[in-house]
Amino acid sequence: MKTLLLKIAFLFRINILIFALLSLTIVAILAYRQGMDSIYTINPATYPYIVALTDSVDGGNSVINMIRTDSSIIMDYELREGYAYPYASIQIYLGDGKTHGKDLSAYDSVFLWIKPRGEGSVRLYLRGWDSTISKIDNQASLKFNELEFFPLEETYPAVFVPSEFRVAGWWVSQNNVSAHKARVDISNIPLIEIQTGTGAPLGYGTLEIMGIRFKGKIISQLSLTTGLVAIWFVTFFIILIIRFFDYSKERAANRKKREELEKNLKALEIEKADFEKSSKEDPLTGCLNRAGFSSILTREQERLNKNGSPLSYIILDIDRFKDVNDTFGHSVGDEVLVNLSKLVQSRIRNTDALVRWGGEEFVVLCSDTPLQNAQFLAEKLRQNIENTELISQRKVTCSFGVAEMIPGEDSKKLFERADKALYASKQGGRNRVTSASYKKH
Amino acid sequence: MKKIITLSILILLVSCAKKGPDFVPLTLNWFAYSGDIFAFGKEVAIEPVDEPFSTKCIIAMTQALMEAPTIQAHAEDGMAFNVQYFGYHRYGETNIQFRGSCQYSDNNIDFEKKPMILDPKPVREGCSWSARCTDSGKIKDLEFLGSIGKTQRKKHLGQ
Repeated sequence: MKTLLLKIAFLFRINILIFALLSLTIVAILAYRQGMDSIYTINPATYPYIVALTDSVDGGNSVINMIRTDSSIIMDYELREGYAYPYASIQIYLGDGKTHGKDLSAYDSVFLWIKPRGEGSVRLYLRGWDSTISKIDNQASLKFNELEFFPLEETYPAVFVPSEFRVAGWWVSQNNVSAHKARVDISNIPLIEIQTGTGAPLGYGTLEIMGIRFKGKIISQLSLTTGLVAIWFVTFFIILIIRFFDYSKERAANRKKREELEKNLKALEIEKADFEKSSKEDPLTGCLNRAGFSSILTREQERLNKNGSPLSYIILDIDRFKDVNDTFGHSVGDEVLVNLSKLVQSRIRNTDALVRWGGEEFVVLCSDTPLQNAQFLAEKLRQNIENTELISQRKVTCSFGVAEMIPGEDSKKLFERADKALYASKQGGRNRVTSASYKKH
Repeated sequence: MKKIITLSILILLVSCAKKGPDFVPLTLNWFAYSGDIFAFGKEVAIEPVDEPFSTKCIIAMTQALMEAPTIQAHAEDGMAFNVQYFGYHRYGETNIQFRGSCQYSDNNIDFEKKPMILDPKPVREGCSWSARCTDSGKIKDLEFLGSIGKTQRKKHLGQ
């Protein structure tokens, strides 16, 4: 079962991959929407690094009293004349409070739980460190990313987005900041300030701050999108590779199949050729048999009739072969036949054909050979056979009949003539060559 | 009467039309003489010949005999010869001398060692002959001893 499942999985691996990719994409989108929140909350009731101050640091006379409760801090302040722009504020220090603050740029919303007593605006400053502008130990040089709002007109909590902040114009001109550096940057905020707003009336006032919360996503939408696109690209690249390997494998398999097929075809052809050959061969001696001879004869006859190329027949018959079989046995007889055929085969030309015609009778078809030459060849064969020990038991000789074909003649007539010449050899004492020379009329 | 005449004519025609065998059986037993080099006279010194030359001459001799009218005349029973040959010097070049005599069943002479004596008047016509093969492989002076009428020569061999 496991193997089957694995096989199916392998078979549909690309489909599975695409399905997995789609699922991942949907899950990622849903998860991003419903979750993956990154939250940073400052609970002023417990957050230790909070300081209250007024314009008195700038030479003013305002006063402030900060009270921590279980759930908030309360700013009780009195704005007095003295400074041009009286104010009271609390400062919340993040990080080291100087040069290394918190990166708030990942957050896409700011929640502020703040309750004023009375009307009037409130300013929220996210003071940023910019190494090209800010100076160490000069808090005034921290960038004023400001947002001014009326708490009573906002929801509770008040919710803002980073794009609603702007850099305070007076700070830009005060610090001679170039336009390019005067944009909001909340990537390094060592200080958050909550201050009384512009034109806050002189007199008593109270601000209760229950909490500040920065909310965002673990990863930005851009990062998520980029990540998903990258995964899609990688997946398709993997699919491409898989397809490439599949294709290569298929090609190799096809090539192997083709090679095997060709190999089988070759083997079959060889088998066919072998079969054809064996059907035309005498199994004992390996010479041609009558079946194998006929096609050669036809070819040579055509050459004779077309080109006048002379064609001669030599019939040779083993002398007293029956006697050899009867005296020494058929195995010795076979030995004579085999050795004789080997000897004759080695003495004739490549263009000649040796045929086992009968039991102890052989024919040599001599292509492009006139009668007198065939007679000479037969004589040579006769001498070779006479002088060779075909078997150890006794000397073996052959009688020969030689004839030349007349153009247009039936091969039977030629054979008859050669056979009669052979008969004359036998009658004349055996171990001799008789040719059937033409009688001129 | 008419019937008898017609029948006779028919028989005559048939008998005239009857042919003899189309071929002449010719058996040749070849012996390369290697005996006494002066066996054929002091003026005829036997000398060895190389195989290509002897092969060429043997084939030419075979053809000459096949085409010789004297041989052709023996179509019924053919002819069988023992043929002895040897090389000798003549007119500044090597020739091969062929000497043939009819083969008889009691002919046990080893013609490789013994010179062949030609019967000038053989019992059977054509049973005794001689010829020579020139340096260029042509058969000349083919002579059947004891032939009736003129000695028959093979003209087309360039004699």
